[in-house]
Amino acid sequence: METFARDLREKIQSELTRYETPRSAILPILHLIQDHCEWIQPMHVEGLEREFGLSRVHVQEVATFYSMYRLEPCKPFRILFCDNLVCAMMGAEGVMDKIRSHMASFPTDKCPFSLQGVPCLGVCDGAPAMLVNKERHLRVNRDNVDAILASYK
Amino acid sequence: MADTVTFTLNDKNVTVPKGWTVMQAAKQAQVDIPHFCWHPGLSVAGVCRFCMVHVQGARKLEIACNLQATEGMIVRTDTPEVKEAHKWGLEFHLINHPLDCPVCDQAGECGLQDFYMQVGKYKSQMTRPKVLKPKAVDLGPRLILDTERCILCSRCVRFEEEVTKTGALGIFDRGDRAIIGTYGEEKIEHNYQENLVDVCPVGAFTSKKFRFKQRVWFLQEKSSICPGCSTGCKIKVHARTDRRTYYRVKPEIDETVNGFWMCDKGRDTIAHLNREHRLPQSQMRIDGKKQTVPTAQALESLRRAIETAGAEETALLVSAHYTVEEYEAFFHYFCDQLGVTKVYQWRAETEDRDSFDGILLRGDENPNTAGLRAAMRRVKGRTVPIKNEIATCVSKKPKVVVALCPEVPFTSPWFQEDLKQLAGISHVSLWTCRYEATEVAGITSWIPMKGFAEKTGHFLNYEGAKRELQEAFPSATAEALSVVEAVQQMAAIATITTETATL
Repeated sequence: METFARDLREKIQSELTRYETPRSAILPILHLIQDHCEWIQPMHVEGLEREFGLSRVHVQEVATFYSMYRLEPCKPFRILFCDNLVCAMMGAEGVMDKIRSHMASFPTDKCPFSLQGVPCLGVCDGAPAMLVNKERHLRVNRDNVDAILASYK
Repeated sequence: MADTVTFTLNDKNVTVPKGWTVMQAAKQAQVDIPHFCWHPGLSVAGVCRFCMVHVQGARKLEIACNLQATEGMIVRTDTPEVKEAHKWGLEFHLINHPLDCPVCDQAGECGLQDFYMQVGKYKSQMTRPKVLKPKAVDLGPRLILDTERCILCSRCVRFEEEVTKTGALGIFDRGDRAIIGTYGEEKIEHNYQENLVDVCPVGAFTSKKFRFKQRVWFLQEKSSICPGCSTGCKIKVHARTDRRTYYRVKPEIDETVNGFWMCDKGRDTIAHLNREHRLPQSQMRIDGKKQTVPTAQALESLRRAIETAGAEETALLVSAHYTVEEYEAFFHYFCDQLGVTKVYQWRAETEDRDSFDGILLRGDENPNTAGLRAAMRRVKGRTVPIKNEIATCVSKKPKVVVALCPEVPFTSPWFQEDLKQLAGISHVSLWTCRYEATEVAGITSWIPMKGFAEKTGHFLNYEGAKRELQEAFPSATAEALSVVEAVQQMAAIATITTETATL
């Protein structure tokens, strides 16, 4: 059985022809898989070796190196919180603590959020900044963060 | 255009072929540039940042491993900047290193330990706890990996990609969480595993067989040739002479045959040399009972048997595990002096002699097939086809058989089974180092032989190249003889007997 759906297969195939070496196409291919399948599973990595001739060691090296690849099933709402300098100066760490305790208020396994610190989101004027899935929130603070999170259900 | 470049290295003029790096030139000029990730048998990675040198006119320090030597370049390896770079490079490598040298097998031959002692940055300025990583990871039948000791030089990853072309190893995750490993639970199963232990500049990869067995500074090394197949890799045998015990085999650099590597099978060729597997003394079957006898007595009895039966009733059965010098002495005595003409090869009945794994290992599991063939051509006056001739030997119904037994047990598992064919012959003298030989019925005498690491001489490998066993350890059993020595002793006994007779 083929690991990837037909349209995904075709996209992977076209990425493979774009670079001098197939190895160079690993980054965009992993993004494609992630966009189609939510997260990158071991069967995808093994499928790339079996069906497209990419070394699974090379693929796994790339997948584990970059924090933007998801190697676990994701929660409905992924919070990416900036933990770089400007946001840190504006109290990011305290807000993240607040988010953590918000998450802890759910019964185990029922929490719809995941939290990850990420480098600069490019909106330092609105620090502290966070992304929830693809929505941007600026000037997040300990007072408003619970209400923002409560809007995600 | 000149094919060489001349440049200055620490005030010394060095001339090397065009295209060489400063690192290669320094090796040749015997200037020491500390390094971890560079290895002469692998590609350049440039990741350890330790081989820093000062180049006049350059804005910053350069890495010698990736810096091509150019005409007139002025390079120094000993400036204060270079020393400062070493200090900080080392500190960086040691941030998360466990510094468990007292329990690490690599201690004594560890790049990290050596440079640490040399640079003398004994006190860490790190106040944060070390990052903990997986330890004692079972990575294959012969490999253990300690990812905390690893400095991520990537030599093992390159070995897997470039030499065995298996590509099983990678660097996963990143930053201070980065670790070497295989995909999932995969094990490394190929026949070149222990080269990973050799290329590892620290104690991250250790050998399951050698682990915790011996401190390396107690070992003596002697240069020899691997007897495991007809490639004839140049090796160093490591042993403790005070304990008469062999511990390990490592490849020795030889660009004409094995380069920097050897296979794992070859590393097992010393197991049979240790005392528990050795025939300790000569033995004879007297009145149906096995007895330990002086070697002189066993040889004399053989000599008498040949005299009684006659040279034409005597046969020589010879395996291809002995040196050219030994064959010379053996055939000179038995054929030229005593007049024996029945000479037979002894080897595996079925073998895939011409097979080759593409790296080093060959299907001919005898180290000196070519040497034996040349020696037999001389005594027989014609070229003999290579095959097992024990059945032919027995069919000629000789009364006396002198057998030079195969030495390495795992390449000659047929040995004991074959010996049973000799059961009906009235005098069979086995020249062997293997204790198991005494378990076979129908044999008259057993003479203890030296192992390959205990004698000098040479083999001729698959392409007829001379492979020299340069140095010899004292034998693990005091009574063992080389074929040359055994033949000399036998000839000397004969002389004495004759002299006594004349008196």
